[in-house]
Amino acid sequence: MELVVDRLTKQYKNKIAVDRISFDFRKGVYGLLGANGAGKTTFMRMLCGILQPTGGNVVFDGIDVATEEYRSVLGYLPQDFGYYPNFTGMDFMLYLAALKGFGKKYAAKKSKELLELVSLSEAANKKIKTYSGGMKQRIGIAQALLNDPKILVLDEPTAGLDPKERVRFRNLIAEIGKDSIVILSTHIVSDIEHIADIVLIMKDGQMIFDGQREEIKEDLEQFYLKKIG
Amino acid sequence: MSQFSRLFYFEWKKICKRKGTWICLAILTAFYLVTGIFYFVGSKYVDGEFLETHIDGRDRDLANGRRMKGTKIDQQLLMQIQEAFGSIPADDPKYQLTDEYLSNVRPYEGVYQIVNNMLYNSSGRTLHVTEEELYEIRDNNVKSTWDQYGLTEAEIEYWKNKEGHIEKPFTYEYAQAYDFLVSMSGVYRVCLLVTFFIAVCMSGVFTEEHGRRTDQLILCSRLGRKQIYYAKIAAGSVFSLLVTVILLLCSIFSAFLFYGTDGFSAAIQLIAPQYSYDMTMGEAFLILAGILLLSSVMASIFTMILSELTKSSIASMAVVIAVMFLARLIPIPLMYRVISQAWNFMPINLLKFDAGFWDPRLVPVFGLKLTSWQFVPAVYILLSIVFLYAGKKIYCGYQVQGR
Repeated sequence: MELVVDRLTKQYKNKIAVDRISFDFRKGVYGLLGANGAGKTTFMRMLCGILQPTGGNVVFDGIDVATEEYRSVLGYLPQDFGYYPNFTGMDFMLYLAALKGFGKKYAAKKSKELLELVSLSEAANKKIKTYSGGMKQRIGIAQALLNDPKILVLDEPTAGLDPKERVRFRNLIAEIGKDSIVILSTHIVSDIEHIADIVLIMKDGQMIFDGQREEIKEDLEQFYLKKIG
Repeated sequence: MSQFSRLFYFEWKKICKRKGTWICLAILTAFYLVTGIFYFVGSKYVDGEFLETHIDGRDRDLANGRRMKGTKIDQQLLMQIQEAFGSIPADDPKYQLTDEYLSNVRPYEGVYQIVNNMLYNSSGRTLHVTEEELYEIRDNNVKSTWDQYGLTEAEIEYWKNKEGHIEKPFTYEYAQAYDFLVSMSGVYRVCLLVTFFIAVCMSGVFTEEHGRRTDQLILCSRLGRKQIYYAKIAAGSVFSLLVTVILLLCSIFSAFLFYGTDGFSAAIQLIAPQYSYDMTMGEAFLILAGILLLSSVMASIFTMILSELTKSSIASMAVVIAVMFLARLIPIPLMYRVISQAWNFMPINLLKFDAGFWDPRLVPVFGLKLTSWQFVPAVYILLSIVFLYAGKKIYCGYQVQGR
């Protein structure tokens, strides 16, 4: 299982948002840190195939990012994901399950399981517009897991979660990371500290650091602040 | 249930869950109910004096029409009309209230209107014309229409041949219901309302995803490119088609309820004397209805694709409504043949019976000569395919950026 990113670049008129990043992802949890505007979200969008790079490519086990096959192994939670206010939680999950190509019975079973996992079983038949911020975030996490993804890309996944939910989330990610590639972008350094196997730091579109968490002997936040200057 | 049908189901659900859809449908329903009531309530007055209720008037005209069914509009009938009108007091402005009018003239009122139409610019001669003169004037009006449209020799030959199939003298049949349906109140009105509905409700099918930011989740899903695109188009088109059918049925129901179902086999010349095609009113209505249904699918696909191109439901709504109004308000001079003919192919013009539908200019296709209503279905289908293909390119090429 290998996600190969080769000289990935995204250039806009006046700015290079992602500057020739090359990296090989394998099973495990990758924590992506960077200041606002460092290029994390742009990078993640290219990994998910929803933003075309200006240069370079992304390939998973020989499968190009712009294919249905790649998308079938991908789970994505965007930073600012949307929902349909008049859909219930279950409707939303079933719709996304249909988009991921699942049949009715399997979709219903899997949606029920995931809603239970994120503690939304009781709210499953309520409209999403009645959900709190934390509940909306949890349903976002649940939909990302529908297809048991081999590549799980999470952009600010713990925003809006209370401490208890955050701990549950970390445990869940750690478990998933044993068999999949999990790329997690966050401003909450403690999330990275607790669950990331590998820390990646981006600055001005470039990957300025990548290394095992254990190799960073000092406080991660201090290390990060030193790196970005 | 196939995967496509599941996606279709959810896209249908999204359309149904939008408030705008139901507000629009409620407005259309209220419009039909209110205008429908006008037929049944209210009365007719002549110079402030009560003549009859609408219902009574309808009953009289229907009874008279049925009595006269099958009567040839010939010399004998013309003389009967002239004699009947001769019995009205000539200087009484309220002649419609007189017994002489109600008993002698009213039974011929329907035929009188038809003869008036046939005489067109010579309508002052209605009470003096002979059968020979009547049909001669009508034939001259037909030829004058051909000249006006600048028909070629081949086209004139075509229509002369069609004229040969028209039965003369015309046979009268009460066909108010079909007159209603092929006129501004029937198919044409449905076209206007459906265009409004499509502009308001279909312009959000794609833009909603960008506005709500659900596009990211959709585009990174396995079926989130091609398959969901087709599911959205299918759901939007079928919904629009369903609304069109419902409004058309409301029109048909109103027409038949008020005017009765008579007249399917009445010659189209009874309402369009200058038209040279051998066709009944019922056939004309069915053709118009078929074109309306096709045009609603085409318009909904166009609106959805436009909204995806502009990423704005307001912009696409404005364009669709503007095109509808401009197509009606801007006349293209007949001397610009190709442009004016193509302009008449637009649904809002073609479905206006006395404009695009009976445009005598033909379209040559592989040696055949087709009328506008024969040619246009192929145009609408082709355009729908073009829009579909272009829309797929636009949608599948969309990049999530800049937020």
